[in-house]
Amino acid sequence: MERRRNTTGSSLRHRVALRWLGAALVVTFLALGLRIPADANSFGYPGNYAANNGNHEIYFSIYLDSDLASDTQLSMTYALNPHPDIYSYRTYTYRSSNDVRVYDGNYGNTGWYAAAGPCVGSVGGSGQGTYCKPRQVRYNRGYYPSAFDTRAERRHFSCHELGHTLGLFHDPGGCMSTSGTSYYFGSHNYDHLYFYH
Amino acid sequence: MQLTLHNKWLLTVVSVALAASACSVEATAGSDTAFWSALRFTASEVEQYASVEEMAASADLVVVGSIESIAVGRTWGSEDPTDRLVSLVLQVKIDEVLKGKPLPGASDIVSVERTMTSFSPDTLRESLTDRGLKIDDSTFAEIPKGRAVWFLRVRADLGSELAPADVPFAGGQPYRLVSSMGLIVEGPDGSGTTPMAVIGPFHDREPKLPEERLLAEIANVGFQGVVDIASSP
Repeated sequence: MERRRNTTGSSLRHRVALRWLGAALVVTFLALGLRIPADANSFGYPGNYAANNGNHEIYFSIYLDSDLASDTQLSMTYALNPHPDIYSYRTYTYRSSNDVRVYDGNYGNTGWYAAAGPCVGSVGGSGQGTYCKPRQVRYNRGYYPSAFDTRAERRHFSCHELGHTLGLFHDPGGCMSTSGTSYYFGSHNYDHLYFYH
Repeated sequence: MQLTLHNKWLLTVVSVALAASACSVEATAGSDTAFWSALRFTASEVEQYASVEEMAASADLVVVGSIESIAVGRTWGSEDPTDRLVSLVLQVKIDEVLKGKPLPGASDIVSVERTMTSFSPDTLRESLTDRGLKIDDSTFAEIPKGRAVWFLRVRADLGSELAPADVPFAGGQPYRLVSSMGLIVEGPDGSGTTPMAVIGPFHDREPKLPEERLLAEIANVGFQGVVDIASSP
């Protein structure tokens, strides 16, 4: 009997301790931004729906400039794919499973060097998990050729626009900044890419 | 004060909720949201401004006006037949010129051309009606009727297109916004909003990017403040 009372009391203390431990873990993860999607994640935000951040099928126009194609591929390999929740791959097949379609051309004096178009395709999911595909990445290389002179610039633009297709906003850190030539995601944006498929 | 287990748990939940909402997305208010959202996209912009004064000083023309009509604009693309994009032309009736002079022959209309990055000419034409823009099967938006301040740049790129616009440009030339922050719409409460801009949440930190600082200024001075700054010599 004595042994049974001890077991019951221990079990209650154990449950309370576990509950506090769980709460502490959640708060800690949220505070540190570790693999918990913060509410600021832009997925589901009208005009910036993510194209999909699980398997990210990226169609390259066969007319895409070879330097831009090569450097867009580098961004996929070194900026997107190191993230455990993203697998991007290139295709030259225009089809409905394309999440993103990449083009370059002379689009006139648009006021932008590169853009990630709004979604006008099919919408799925809901809330912050809303996705829409395909989205389009446009490099206005024909009108602003000097902006694409260097590999760093091309990698910055491709990292930046592909980041938008994953639902990311501009951010002072990394390639989502509106200045500089960084071609990796900053830690803030990198953390936002967790858990949404 | 001694907290009960229940209160401690409640406190934890509230803390978690506050932490999670530290930076949430701001939506554009008003019934015109659907219209503007169709024209809004993310981009690496050529021009960036951190203040209204700086943006006004750089613009070719700054007007207060409202949209009178919309039409399909020019078409661009490459040899790839799947690569076509088109602009939307907003014919804006000028109420007041704050800086610069409209093009000769433009009278009281200015043509503002917005290149749409995802629409082909056919899909855009299909989506347009006389009174608004059909965005998809479930959304229909009317043309916004309210006033806005337009910070404009002459595009000076006629001839870069594959096909001309459906309508003539006022004064023979289209303008574009200097940047996505170059349209500031008057809110019913006298506030100013920037519906073309896609700006991420930043209220868990100080505004750092130029557009964030500009947004903070607009929120501070309101629509009339923007008009006053843009019209000051």
